[in-house]
Amino acid sequence: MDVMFALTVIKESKPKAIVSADNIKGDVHIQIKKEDLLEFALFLKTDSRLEFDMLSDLFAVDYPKRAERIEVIYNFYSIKNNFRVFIKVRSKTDETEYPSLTPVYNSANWFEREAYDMFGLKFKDHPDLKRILNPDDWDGHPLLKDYPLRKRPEPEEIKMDDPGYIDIEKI
Amino acid sequence: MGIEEHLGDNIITASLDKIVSWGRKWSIWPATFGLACCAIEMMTVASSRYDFDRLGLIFRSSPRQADLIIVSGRVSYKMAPMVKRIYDQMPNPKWVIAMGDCASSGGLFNVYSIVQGVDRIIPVDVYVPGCPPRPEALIYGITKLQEKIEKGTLKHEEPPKIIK
Amino acid sequence: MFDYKDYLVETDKFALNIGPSHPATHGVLRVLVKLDGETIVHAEPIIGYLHTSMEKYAEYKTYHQAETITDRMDYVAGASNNLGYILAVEKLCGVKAPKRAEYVRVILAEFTRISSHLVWLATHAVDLGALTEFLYCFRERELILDIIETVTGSRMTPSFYRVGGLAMDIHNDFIEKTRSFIKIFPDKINEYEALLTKNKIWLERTKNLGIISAESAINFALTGPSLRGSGVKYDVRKVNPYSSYEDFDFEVPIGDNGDTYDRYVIRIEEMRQSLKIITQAVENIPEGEYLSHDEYPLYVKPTKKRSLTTMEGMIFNFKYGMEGIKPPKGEAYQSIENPRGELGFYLVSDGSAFPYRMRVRPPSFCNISALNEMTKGHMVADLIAIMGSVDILLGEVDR
Repeated sequence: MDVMFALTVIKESKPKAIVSADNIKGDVHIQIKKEDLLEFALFLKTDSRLEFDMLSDLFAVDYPKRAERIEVIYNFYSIKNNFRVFIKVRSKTDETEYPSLTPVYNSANWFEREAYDMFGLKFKDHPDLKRILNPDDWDGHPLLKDYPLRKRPEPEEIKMDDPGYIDIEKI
Repeated sequence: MGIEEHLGDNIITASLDKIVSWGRKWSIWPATFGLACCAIEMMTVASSRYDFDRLGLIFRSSPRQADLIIVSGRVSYKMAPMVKRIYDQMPNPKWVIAMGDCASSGGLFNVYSIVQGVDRIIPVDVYVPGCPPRPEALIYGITKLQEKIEKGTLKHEEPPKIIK
Repeated sequence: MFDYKDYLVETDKFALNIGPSHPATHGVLRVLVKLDGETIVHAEPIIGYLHTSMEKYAEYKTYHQAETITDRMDYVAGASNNLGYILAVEKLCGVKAPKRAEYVRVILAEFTRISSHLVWLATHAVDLGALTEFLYCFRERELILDIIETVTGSRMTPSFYRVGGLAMDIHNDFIEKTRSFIKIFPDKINEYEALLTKNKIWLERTKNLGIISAESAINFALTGPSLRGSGVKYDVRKVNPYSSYEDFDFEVPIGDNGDTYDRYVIRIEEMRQSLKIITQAVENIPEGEYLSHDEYPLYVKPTKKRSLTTMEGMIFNFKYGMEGIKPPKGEAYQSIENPRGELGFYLVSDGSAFPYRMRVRPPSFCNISALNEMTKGHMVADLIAIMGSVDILLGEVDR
């Protein structure tokens, strides 16, 4: 079965949610509306013809010149059928709250934390949204295009005495 | 078969400095502390072909039993307090080797999250260039450190300053 | 009458911090463990201690310069990472490498798979107390690194691939050295297995430990041996063949119940299969050009001989060196089977010589996120065995 079959199934079942859909170099890219995301993911996972059981990747791209600046790309994969689709969701800079996919896919947990760390995106109903790669007190979100590549604190500013203790009740 | 058989009733005189430095030189115990790519090459040096042990280097898992720390790889701002803490835990006398370009100067990664050279946090004795350095390069760095230790003295010295 | 229950001490929950500098965490992983006595209640990996901002840095490099960043990401499998990146750029440009280059790429990628599994086996065995295994594995790893060095000039960070082929043609020594390695290596694998596979201590410490079900593994987006250990036959080399993998005959080993022992057996078997692929590739390596400059002059550099002897070749080489390549506007995703799992590169191009965005789909990142699921209810000593069996590499987790 070809991935184009998946595209036709998605188009038939969810015509209202899709903004645009095209096939770039053999990959299916579908742009949907942000508010339909959670429902759409549930559909992808549970539909018996598709069975997208793996959220393979989740990341964002920053386009500062566009009105809808942040584009979040979800990479869904179906192990059984060997389908891969890229679901894209766009949002303006001031509307950075997304529905969290963690209840549906466990892998979304860390990916969403990374997107929060790198782009400052908020994920509603995420169990533990905090920075993952950068230190907790880091300033700014590095992968935004307006964050300078070499903006770093002076070595004297590092808190050498802070080993990062965490309260036992929190883990 | 010890040295006393050859000596008979004679005695050896030497300066304490020399004997202690000689002893230190051949029993440098590095801490097991790996960061990135260079850590794999550091493991290689400890393995069959290059065999660290013949230079008297035995990896110790606790910094409190070690007197050398090989900073093998890039140090991020998140990791910097830990590197400093491990260095502080080591008993005197202690030495530091900055292995690879990233530990020496930031190297390839002149970016926001990497400390540009571990010498901004802890004082470094020997820099080993390379990305990553070959195991032979690390062994050469060790012999250089041994030369430095040999010239050392027991007297209390000013601790080396951190270059800023 | 003696009743042991009278002597039981009431235990309280307490937290144990492992890492970021710990001999058994394979780098700078930190795990916060909540314990009830010796039983793990919750294990939370804390990552980011090696964060190198590679995705950001790639945006400031030309397409070929960015390749050197990728092999410092997964540093025990450098050639494999380069392959993923270069294939993504090739997909973006619509370029295909000649058959000869593809075969060399396969050989190098499989060599790094073996060497990566050797490093994994060495460290995993040392963690569980088998020091001899460490010495054995690094002995053969040196042979592999020698071969990689013969052809690429570097032991760990080759950056040998170019868009549309290789940096240079392979050396004759390469074929001979590879053949002699193929002769000796099967015996060596048996040697490793003789020490561990039926060893009572090894079985006790790895069997029925860190079990993860197939469903849960997929939900956590595990890939590579960690997923195949749970019985899911997913290997990118078979499912979506790239770089002529469809030419080779090999099998994908899978496990039964997804425990630490299964993951060990799979990686040992994968080394045998990789050797099988290398044997086929070396014996059938096609003659011809190593760069496809004739078909795609815009994106592929001319061979060295041509750029030194012809006028157009020199101009192309100069342009290629000064400007870099400029792929058309668009996006491309390419995934490969890294020793640790599915490594994907998502590239966004805006038509300039620099990638607009490079996203790495990191296999270790996903694999380690399931640590809590795997370790819950086990003893704290088993945490080390489970953590080792997942085979994470912090350079790639943190990028």
